[in-house]
Order: sequence, then C-alpha cells, then structure tokens
Amino acid sequence: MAQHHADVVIIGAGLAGGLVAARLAAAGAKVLVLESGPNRDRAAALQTFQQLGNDSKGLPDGPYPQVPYAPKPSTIDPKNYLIQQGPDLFKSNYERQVGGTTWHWLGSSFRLVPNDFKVKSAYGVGADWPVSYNDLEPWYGQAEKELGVAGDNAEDLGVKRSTPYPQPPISKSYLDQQVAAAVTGLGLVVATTPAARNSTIYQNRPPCCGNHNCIPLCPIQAKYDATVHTEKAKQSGAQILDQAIAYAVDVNSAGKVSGIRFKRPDGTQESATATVYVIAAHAIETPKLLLMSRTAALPNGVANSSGQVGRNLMDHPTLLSYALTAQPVYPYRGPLSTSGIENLRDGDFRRTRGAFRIEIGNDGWSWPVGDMTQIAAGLVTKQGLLGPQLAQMVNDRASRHIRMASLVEQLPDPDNRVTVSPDQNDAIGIPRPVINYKVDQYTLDGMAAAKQTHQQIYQALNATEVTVVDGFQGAGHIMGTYRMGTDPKTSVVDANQRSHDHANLFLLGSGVFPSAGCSNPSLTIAALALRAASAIKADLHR
Amino acid sequence: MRHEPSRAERGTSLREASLTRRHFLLGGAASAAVALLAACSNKNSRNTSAPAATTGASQAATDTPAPAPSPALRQFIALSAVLTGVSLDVLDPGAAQGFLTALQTPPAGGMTVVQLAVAAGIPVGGSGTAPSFADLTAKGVLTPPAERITADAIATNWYSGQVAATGAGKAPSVITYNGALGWKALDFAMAPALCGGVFGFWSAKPAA
Repeated sequence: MAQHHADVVIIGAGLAGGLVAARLAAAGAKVLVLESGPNRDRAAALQTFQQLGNDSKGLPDGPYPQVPYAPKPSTIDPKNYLIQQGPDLFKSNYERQVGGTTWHWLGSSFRLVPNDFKVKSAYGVGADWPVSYNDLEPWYGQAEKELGVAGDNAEDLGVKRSTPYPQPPISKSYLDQQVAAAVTGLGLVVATTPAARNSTIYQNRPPCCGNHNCIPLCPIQAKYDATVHTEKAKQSGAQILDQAIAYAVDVNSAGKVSGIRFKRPDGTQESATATVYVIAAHAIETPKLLLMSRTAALPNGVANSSGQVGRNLMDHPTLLSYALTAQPVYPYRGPLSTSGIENLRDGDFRRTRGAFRIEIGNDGWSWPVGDMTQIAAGLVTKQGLLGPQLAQMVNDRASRHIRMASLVEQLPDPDNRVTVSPDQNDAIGIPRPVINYKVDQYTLDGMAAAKQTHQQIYQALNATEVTVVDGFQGAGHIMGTYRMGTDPKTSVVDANQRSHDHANLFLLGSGVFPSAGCSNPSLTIAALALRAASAIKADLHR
Repeated sequence: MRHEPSRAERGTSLREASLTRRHFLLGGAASAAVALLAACSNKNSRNTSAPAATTGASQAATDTPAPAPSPALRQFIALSAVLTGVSLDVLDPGAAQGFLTALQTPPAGGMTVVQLAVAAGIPVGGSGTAPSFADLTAKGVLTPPAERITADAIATNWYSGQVAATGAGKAPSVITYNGALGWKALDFAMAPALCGGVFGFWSAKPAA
C-alpha cells in the first residue's frame, strides 16, 4: 500500500478545498489534496457539450461524463446514485472532479444578509450561526478578491462592506433593464448580481464575452472556477491527486485523526497521514465519508458525537416560471443571469414563511422548456410552420422569452438527512448515500409568495403565456449536513469549522451552514474556508 | 430570417474585441487572453470556440468543412433554404451534407429529397431561380402527406441541428452544433459557448 505524508491532507479539490490548499501551500505547508474524480480538460468538456443531444445540452452535468469510481447524482435521473427515500425528491446535484461543482456553477457571489446568521434569534426559526456577519465580513472581502467578484458598489444589497468589489460590475442585460423599468412602483428593486465572472482581465483570465454558457461550462474561464486555486496550490508545491477516492478516516485512541485511506479506480489502496486533515467534499460526500468511517470506538462515525452528521440537509427549493413579453427583451445574450431582485431576502415575514430572491434569467426558456433548437423544431412539428413564417416566428418568440427563478429559504430539519446504505455500493465497493428529504410548509409558503411576485412582474411586463412550473426545482445549493455551532451536543464543528470531537480535523463547505437563507452559498463557503485556513495555519505554526 | 446589418454590426464588435485583446497581449497578459483573442477574431464565421482555438484542436467533428458541394448537395441546400426560410449563406454546407446523408432513407411515410426537390421545381445542382415558399404553397406542392413529411423532416433537422433517432432508446445524431438554425437563424443571438462580442454587449438593444 502506497503511503503519503504531508502537513495537511485535504479531501476534495473544489471551492473550499482549492482555496485552503492554495493558502496553506503558499504559506509553506506541504499539502496533499485527494480528489475522488478526474481532472477535466476544458476543450474536451466543450466538445462533449457540443456533441450532446439537444435535450441534454443545457444540463449542468452534461459536459462531465460519469466515471464509475466516483459516481455523482445525475440531473436527469436523481436516483442514479443517491438512494432517495423521499417523501420528496432531492433534485440538486454536484460534480466530483478537480475544480468540483464550480465547473458548472452560475457564478453568483452573494454575501448573506446579517439576519441570516441569527435567524433563530431574530425570527424564532432555524438555527443561529456561531459567527455573525461582522465576524465574517473581512473574510467575505478576501473571498471576493480570491474569486474576482464583479459587483456594483453603489447598489444596496443589505450588507455593509469594508472593501470594494475587486472588479467593476457585470453589466445589466437589456432584459434586466426592461424588467427594472416595468417593476417600478411594485416595491421591487432589480439589482446587479455580484458574480465571480471577469469584467476585466483578472488573474490572467479574460473578461466575459457573453458566451451565454456559464452553466454548464464557461469555455474561456471568464467565470471563476476552483481550478484557479488548485492550479495556484500546485504552483506553490501542493500535490493534487485526482482519482483518489477516500473511504475511511482513521482516528487514534487520543481522539485525533491519524490517517486517510483511499482507493484508486483499479481498486488498489493507499493511505495518507498528516498533522491536520480537512474534508471538503461537499454536503453529501463529506457526511457519507464520516458516517462510513464508524468503528467500535466511534459507532456513530467520525466527528459525530452529536449525532448531527448527515442531518439538516437543505437546498434552496426553486420556483421556476416563464412567459412571453409584449415587447422584445432579447434574451440568449450575455451571462445566464446578470440581475435579480434581492430586497425580499429579509423581513419579519421570515417568522412564518421562507424568504426568497428572484434570479432574472437571460437564458430565455432554456431551463424550463428547452433551448432554441428544441423550441424551433417544435414550431415545425407541433405548429406546422415552414418557410419564412417559421424563421420569423423563431425570431419573434425567442426575442420575447423571459424566465425567472426564486430561490426559497429552507429550514434545517433533522429528519432531512444523508445516511449510508448498508447494502448498496458503488462500482468500487463504497456505500451509496441514502437521502431522506421533505420540503416543509415554511418553504412551500415562501414559494407561494414567490409565485405571486412572479405573476405581478409578468403583469407589469404585459407578458402572456405565463407559466409557473409545478413543484420545485433543485438549486444545486446543498447545505447543512455537518452544521457549525458552539455546542458540541448539537453541532459538528465550531466557528472555525474544526470538529468538536477531533482537534486536527476541519470540515469545510456549505455542510456547515446551520441555516440556509436564500442567497447563493458559494461566497460564504469561500469566506469560511479562508477563515479556516487561518486557523489551520496557526495550528501548523504551533 | 436574418438581417445582414445585424451580422455586420456584430463583426465590427468582434474586430474591436480583437484589437482590445491584442493591446493587452502586448502588455504581457496571459495565455487565457490568447484564447479569447483566438475565439473572437474569427467570429464572422460563427464557428470558433476558445479552447479549441487555443489548443489547436479541431472543431467538433460534426462541424468539419465539407468539400465543394456536389450537384445533389446544391439541390438540397436550395430546397432547404426555401423550407427553412433562411438565406442560402446561412446554411452550412458541411451540415447540409450530414442531413442529406441522413435523409438517404426517407422519413416514414415521406418521399426522397430528390423527389421533393423535383416536385418543388428545384433541379439537381440547384441552379436557376428557386421557387419561393409562397409559390410552393400556392401550387399545393407540400399538401400531399409524403411531400409534407419530408419537408418537415428537413426543416426540423436544420433547426435542431440533429437527426432524430431511428430506433427506440437510441440517441439522436448531432449533425451540427454551430449550424443549428434554432440559434443561427436568430438575428440577435448566437449558440451558447460562442463568444458573442465585447464585454457588456448584452446591455444594449441589438441593432435593427
């Protein structure tokens, strides 16, 4: 068995793992990153994308084929890997590859609003965080710099900032401007979405040129992805091992993590030891690994004296709608979303229903209906159009497509959880995750409020063919399954994301979120990761 | 339908983009900017994407340039232009060859491409003045089911860029990505993953 040793072993080469690896390697630490999935080549991923059938092109996971040794949830079939026990279907997915899910993220980079950190104290629901907005504010600033967030300093997003955005804002789309004009008087404010997408040359990456393909793949890497930091880590001497699938976290009699065992795709086994261990494998794979590492001494698994590992699984269940505007708004241009309505993210209503933010899409009907190749073909097969009338109709309708999506707050529920299957394994013998998930009335009431707001906006736009998609969509924002807190009896990690149970183990990612708010989580993941890196660095210097 | 001024305007933007990036390159910016320069400098062809340009990799195999069109292919392109409502120059010859090959076996209940072209008055070689779609309609050329089925298949293929699967459980065959009319026929937008222009172009109303 090959054995590796480093100062820090990190499991997961995504956003959190990449940032911490880069920080610690730059500080002189010997860093080893174990990533279950493969390296991806951008040109190959683009070619895969272009050769997909039209019904698969827009899917987040389309350009990234499954590999048997690191299976992942599929957008089309959420039960392909996750064993879903309901009652609701958990619809969000993630990538297992170097760079993680940031390959297919949209890039939206919000700071949570201050009350998101104290939703229990403020509104009597959910759970408070062990950190406040003010505690995290400097780290948000650092995260924005690392990711190259472009934003508008003049716009009020409900938070105080001590540093400006590192890049000028991503310009509002023409469509955004039409919505903003229409909703004047409704109490709704259309704001530029802060995004980890270049508006200038930043970190040697080009500015966005409107490829209109942030999800599933930015072909020019104008959109930040975590390979930026895995590459930085490598340049500072870190070793990134892809296709290294961790399956056991060993803990010694002193209660410290003593090693990681991992497999290779061919079944061979290797191990790694370190002074400090970081697990940053996102909110399903991380609890899976902790739970499957149970021993006689730790019958509930690693880091799980609280019994909270795997519990409180959350997403931002998403209300999706679309319509045809009266006048052209010219979608299908620029980043997939450049603005949203953010002034609904907080308020006393959170005592009784979930908050939401509205993402205004520049992607027409691609998400709810299908892309223009499918829609145009449908005009032939379903409406019998041919010739100039067909070409004219394609243009006319496409120019008036609009869609909105509301990301709705979900409360932590201990019965929404990830466990490991006792008898169903993946191709290399690692247990598959089992999911129990339900969207409760608090969130459903938030979705009802969102639906009403969508309809108001469409009415203001004199839109027709207004359609609200039944049920909820997954946002891809998987959170909560190893929550942070001050009490080791009710939480898994502390404010620095250090395990309450094992002093040399840190658990990173949105799994630490005690509550979800309704803002896209990645910037908070990044800010917390940088904060944890500081704590780890101090440990190493001790 | 396409309006040439729109395309010309887009070309201007892309030339500006190239100049902008060249400036940065001279300033020592990185290889990533090279990718964008390559991606945007050839956009009049609407046929380039950054990583392929950077690595020298070919475009998707489905978009390889075709040799000089054969008489049968010219006939098919002329027929396709009438049925899809776009001008001849919008129809990529390489993709046309793919669709024509796929239609060697007529769709169920349909006639052959050659039979439909002859019925429409388009000779092999596609020479002469092609009939307008209104002509075909007035003469009832597309009224019989066999004619209509093949006409619909041609238009559907072109707009989707792919050919429907012929068997249960089989995936459709992608013939062209860049040439799919669902995107390429739009006056104001391009297929995803193609560089659209300089940063921020999406803020403005497209040129008429």
